[in-house]
Amino acid sequence: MSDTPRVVEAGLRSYQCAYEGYCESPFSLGQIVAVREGPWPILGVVADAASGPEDPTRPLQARGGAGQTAADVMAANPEIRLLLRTHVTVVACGYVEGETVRALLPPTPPPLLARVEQATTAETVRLASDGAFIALLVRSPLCDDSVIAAAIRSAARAFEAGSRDFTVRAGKELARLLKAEPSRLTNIIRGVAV
Amino acid sequence: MTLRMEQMAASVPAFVERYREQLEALEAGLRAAGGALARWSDDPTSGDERIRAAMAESPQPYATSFGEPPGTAIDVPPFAPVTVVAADGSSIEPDRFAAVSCFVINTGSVVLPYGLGGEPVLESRALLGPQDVIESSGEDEGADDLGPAGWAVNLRRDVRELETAAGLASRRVEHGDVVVLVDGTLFPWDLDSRQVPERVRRELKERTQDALDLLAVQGEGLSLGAYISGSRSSEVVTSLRVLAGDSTTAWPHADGHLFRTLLGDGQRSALFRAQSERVGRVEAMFTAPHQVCFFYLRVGDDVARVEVPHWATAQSRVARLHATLVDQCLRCGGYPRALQEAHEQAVISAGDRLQFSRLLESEARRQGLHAPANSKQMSKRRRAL
Repeated sequence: MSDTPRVVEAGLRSYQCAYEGYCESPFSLGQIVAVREGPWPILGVVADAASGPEDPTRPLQARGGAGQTAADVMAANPEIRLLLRTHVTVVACGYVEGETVRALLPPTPPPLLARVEQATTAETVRLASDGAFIALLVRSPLCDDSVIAAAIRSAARAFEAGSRDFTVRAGKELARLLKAEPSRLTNIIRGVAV
Repeated sequence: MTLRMEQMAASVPAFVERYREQLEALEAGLRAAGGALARWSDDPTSGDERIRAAMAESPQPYATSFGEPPGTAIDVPPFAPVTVVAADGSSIEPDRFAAVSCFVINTGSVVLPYGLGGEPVLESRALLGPQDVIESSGEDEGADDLGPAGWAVNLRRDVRELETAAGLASRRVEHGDVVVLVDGTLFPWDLDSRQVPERVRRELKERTQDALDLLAVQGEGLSLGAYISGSRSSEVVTSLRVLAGDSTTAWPHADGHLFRTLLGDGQRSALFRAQSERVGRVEAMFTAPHQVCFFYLRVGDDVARVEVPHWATAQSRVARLHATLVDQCLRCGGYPRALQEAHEQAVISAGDRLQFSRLLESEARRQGLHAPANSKQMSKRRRAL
């Protein structure tokens, strides 16, 4: 079974990707990911991840005896893992055109069934360095304060020694975008500072 | 709503009451059948002789004992690590209003290892047929001109289920014990159907024999059971009526009715040997080791009939099958988990059927084929006032 998720629903502003089966460690909240198939690589931020039965008419029953871990229950019921799927929701926040990374919506959605991979450090730095990608996240209904804070933390790690400078730039960008929403700004900054 | 519920509602209470009265009237028959079963257990040989004598004068299906006292109730043995293999099928029957008449058989299969090596598998494989769309061999007994009615979709589906299970099981014995489950009867009974062209029956009989042979050569580590939930078979109660010499008492119509009163939860009955003209006719097509034996298994309120080929009736094999079936049923609300999942893999939803129909129609149109106009069908589709 492949551990690379693929695009299963595609839009300009967001897309869904799914693992072939149940993935206990999917892309993490705020992680910056890339679809490199199609006319231009598309960069995005993980806004949500969910696991459950592939067939919504067959809900997962909470089985397992006292003291059994999830791994024990899975081993005792070998069919279950094959009937589960993990989906990840990604909000688009940039695309690559030639040598330039643009913090804008991509002109077209990512191709269905394209592989979704972790963005490289270089891609992340080029996307995030001026903080402009945050505007797309702030405007997206799929991104609550936690997603934006996690995305900034995730991007900051790519800057290594320059992560503090990046975080300050991101904070200034947030202050500009959210000057009318001080409580939201406070929430996000608290989330970044974790 | 075209079914007048107020009319139904008026009739239902009396109908249910009559049914309940009939069931109550069977109590005496159940007691008499239980007594006959006990006497048969005391002397199985002479009981079997009397049943065989009755068979000579009646086409009804009977059962004889098979190495275990017929009235025995056997507790579930301990469950041990095993790989459970199961297959089930679903089909799209030929549509006589379609531009291209064809059938689809979708075979679902599962491999579930419990405490043994090997990966679990859930899969389905679809087949579009028949291979020769306009079949005609000219050598048959008149059934070849049946067209789609003679394509034997159900029979083909049954045979593919057995073949699929046999193939999967043969690749799993290296990991340890295997229990193979199929849904329904062990033999595809349509093998003797006059509705099916002789050459089709011949080919499918050969394939059935090959699949059974493949299972039989896997050794003592493999058990095989054909599982029939809520069976309406009546061989045992028919035999007991002969032994009781009672033709007046209201007699139970199904073996399951009797064994529900005799078996505790998880217990199985003794093994029986199926005996009837039709059983004999179909069995005669196969080599002797594949003859059908069966037992009844109670899990919860359900009494299932489990058919087993003669070669798989060794005590260790039946014990493994018994323990695995009870374990499987406990995992899935009273029905074997592996069969449930094989069914889920096989089932063709209404949406899938529609999608296939559109695919076929679109391809037929692309190639210049059109369905012959059929007024009744058109009228059903239109439905406008």
